[in-house]
Amino acid sequence: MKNGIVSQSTLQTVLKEPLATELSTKGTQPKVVWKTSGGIPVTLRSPSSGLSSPTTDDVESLLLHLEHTRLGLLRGFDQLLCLEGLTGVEQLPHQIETVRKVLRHFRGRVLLADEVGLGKTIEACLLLREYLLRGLVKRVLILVPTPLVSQWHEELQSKFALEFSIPPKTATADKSEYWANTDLVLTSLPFAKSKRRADVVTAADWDLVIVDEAHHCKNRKTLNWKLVNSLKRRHLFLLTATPVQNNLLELYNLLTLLEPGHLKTETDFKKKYVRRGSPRDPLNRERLRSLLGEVMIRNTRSLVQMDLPPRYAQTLMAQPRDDEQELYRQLNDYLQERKIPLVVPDGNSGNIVEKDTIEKNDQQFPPLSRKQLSALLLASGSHPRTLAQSLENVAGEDERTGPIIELARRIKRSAKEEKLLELLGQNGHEKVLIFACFRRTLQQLQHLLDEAGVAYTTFSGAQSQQQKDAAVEAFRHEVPVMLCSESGGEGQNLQFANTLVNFDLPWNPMKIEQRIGRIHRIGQTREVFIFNLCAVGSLEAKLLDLLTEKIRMFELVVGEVGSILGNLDGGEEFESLVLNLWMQSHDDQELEHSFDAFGRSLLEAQEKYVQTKELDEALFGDDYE
Amino acid sequence: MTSSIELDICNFATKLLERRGGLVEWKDPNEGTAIVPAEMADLFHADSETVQLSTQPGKEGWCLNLATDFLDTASRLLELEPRVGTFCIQEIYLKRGDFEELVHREFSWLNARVRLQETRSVRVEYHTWWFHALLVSEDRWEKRFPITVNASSGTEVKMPNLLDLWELEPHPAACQQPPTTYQQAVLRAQHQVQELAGEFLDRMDGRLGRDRRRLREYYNALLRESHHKKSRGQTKLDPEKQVARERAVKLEMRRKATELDERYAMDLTLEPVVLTRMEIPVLAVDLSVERKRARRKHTVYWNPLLKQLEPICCTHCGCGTFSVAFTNEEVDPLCAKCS
Repeated sequence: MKNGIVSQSTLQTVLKEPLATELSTKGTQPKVVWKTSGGIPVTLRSPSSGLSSPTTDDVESLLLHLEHTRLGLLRGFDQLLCLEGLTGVEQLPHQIETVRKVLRHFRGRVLLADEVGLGKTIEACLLLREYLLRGLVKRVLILVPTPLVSQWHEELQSKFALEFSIPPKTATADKSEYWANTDLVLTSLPFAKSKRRADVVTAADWDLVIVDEAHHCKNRKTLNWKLVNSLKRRHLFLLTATPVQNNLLELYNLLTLLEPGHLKTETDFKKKYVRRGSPRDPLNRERLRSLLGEVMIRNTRSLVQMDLPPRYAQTLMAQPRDDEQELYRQLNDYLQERKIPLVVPDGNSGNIVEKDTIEKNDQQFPPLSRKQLSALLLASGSHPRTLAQSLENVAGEDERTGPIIELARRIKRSAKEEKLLELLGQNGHEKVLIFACFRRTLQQLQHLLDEAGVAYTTFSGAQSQQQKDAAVEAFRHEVPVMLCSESGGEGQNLQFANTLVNFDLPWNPMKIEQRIGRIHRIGQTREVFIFNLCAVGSLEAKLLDLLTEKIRMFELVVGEVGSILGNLDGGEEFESLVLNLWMQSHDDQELEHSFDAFGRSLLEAQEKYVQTKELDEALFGDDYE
Repeated sequence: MTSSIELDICNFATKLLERRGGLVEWKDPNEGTAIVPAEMADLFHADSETVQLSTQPGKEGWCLNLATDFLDTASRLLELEPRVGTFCIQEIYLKRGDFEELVHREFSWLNARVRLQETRSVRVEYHTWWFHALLVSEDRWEKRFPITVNASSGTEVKMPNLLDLWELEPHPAACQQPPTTYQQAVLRAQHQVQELAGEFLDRMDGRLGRDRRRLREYYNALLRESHHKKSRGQTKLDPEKQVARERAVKLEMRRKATELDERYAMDLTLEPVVLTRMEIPVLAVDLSVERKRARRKHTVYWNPLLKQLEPICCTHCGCGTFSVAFTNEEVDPLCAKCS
């Protein structure tokens, strides 16, 4: 052996017992050499006698070995390239961990399902950058909800130094050349799926497709799902905080986009994993968990141990004046007349069915659909003017609506508006984000604030991207108030504000959670205050009472409410359940009783959630690590 | 867009292939052609000795990409390349002046009287071992780093990358004696891993702690349940069955806890990748150490590349130290921790 290395000679004279003894035993037999502070034993395995190699005086030869090792390390993704050269990105350990995990184990196809506010976007951008820097992808398409296009664009550019092209709203974007020749494209899902463009977008080859808020693709009958499914791509990242909103089939649909066949056919999936009547509590949990673990990562707050500052919620009840009370009474009478009553059939099947409506068919106007009823009830909980407009749109030809519309228009300032002004008057210098479901309500609030001399900006789905960006900037730097439609509830980073007002309430608590998640998220350093406005005796007041008193929703961490709602029997969407309550009731007393009963169901659902929390963690929580 | 990694792989491939007798030409940063010897073509399973090179997957020829097996095949070619280099620096400026004062300023002698005897110019070999360290537990961590050891003193010395030095010269004579520093380098490498992998080790500790906690909570809940569990048709608790149930739960908890510990147990592999043996002129500073009645000579070295005195190697733990105590009879140096 030429120049082979033999241990123990000179050093024996330098190093004394016990070190020399310790050294002499190493290499040949694995041995625990130290323990971590948590007590994990570390066993050393190394060759006993160094290198057995010919010698050289040529540096190049050695450098080749070292370079080979370095490149090998890069292949192992231990050393991430994406972390260099970032600007203003707070790299949280769970995000880095997720990036490594996707790179190592997921072969570029993953559902990133972190809870709201844990940084899915950051994870996706880090992954994207890593793939680009390593030359593993060149052509990338990012599909996001329309209101988030400019935010993504800005963040990709300023934080990750990635320049993406947003397709112009001209004929250029309808031509295949644009999509074939532009390597990095960022656009909205609605833009890409439009009839004029879907074919050219799907004709192009993509190395990587990223879909933000991917729950919009949970239904395989929608154009969203079909578009993503038909895109030619090697890698796919789906991002959503709520992969399962209503039932496990949604998860099946999303995962089928990622890895068709991973969960076999829909029939197989239902048979093996879906428990009838309990869509969020799967059968064969362990098997499903293992399958999900191959394609999905879900970081949860409890797992990441992220300490957010506390949040406090307060309900501000507004006592409606006589005219408002009269409005709600008239509306209620009218809607009661035009609804299809619901009955709970005998046999206690749990399913609520619409009562035979033959008796109503002789009337001039058919019963209102569930959708119409929901719209009107939601509008009534929002603002009288909004109600007037909705009523006109839905049932304008019915002359019985005339007095109601007239009455609604006569109300100049609602009790909730008064309450809002009172609240804003008490506000010091805090930035206040005011959410409302309807654009019409936003307009009314604009008038209100104008009259009251309160400076504000508005962010709504009706605005162009530039207007939206300008609104956020103005809110950040200039005005104390931002009026925000539901479209501002997704993805916008508004952590510089710490006060949120729900001027009206969506009936879906998940949407309320999304609203709160805009300011109660990573980057929020101050306590968060949430004010819920509602009129005394309104449907919203009952709903709020249910959410605050029964399940204490505003004290839950973001993400938990979904698990509780998922435990409700029947598997219907929450909005639908609320509407059922109203439809079943003929008067306020009955409605109270219905809500009480629903409250008990919710409480049971919460208890069930608490009991099965460990099981839920077994399904999703552990997939982080 | 050609990433820097692609360029690095292309450069590496070019150097390696040309070193082993190939000829490489790049048409553009992403595509090129190589003419390689027949045995190399066989190694890469190429049909002909002219091979297309590309950084893009799916193209004809060899794909030079982290995602392909190019690096694996390259490692077989690299087996033919030596891993031990022998070099020297012939001339370098050596400090003159008052070493007595310098030695007493740099070192703290904790329990002995130390006097400087003489200073002499000598040539000392430094061995730089490049290790590939791999920690494997529930997750893995790996890194490449060098450990340089003064072959005369056994002290680890934080040296600059010697392969970058312009003064470097070939020195085949250096390899007459086999290197004696490997075990000491492995020992120091372990300490290095503890430092470099600190975050990883903390994370593993955190995960293990979390999983232990969950395990305890789960089985404690089962234990609580078992206290109230009645068999079908029973109206009272059966104490015997209850005890048996409890015993079974506790047994399973212990088994699961052991499994958990086994799952998190870590393996550290230290694989030497390259060794450079470098002979450098240094100043040896001989010291006379008096500890009680015992007396012994020790030598410390003034390193011209670092322009400072090197620490003394603790005979107990092997670390380098400037705060030195000595054993009573042998007058062996110890670091403050070991003394």
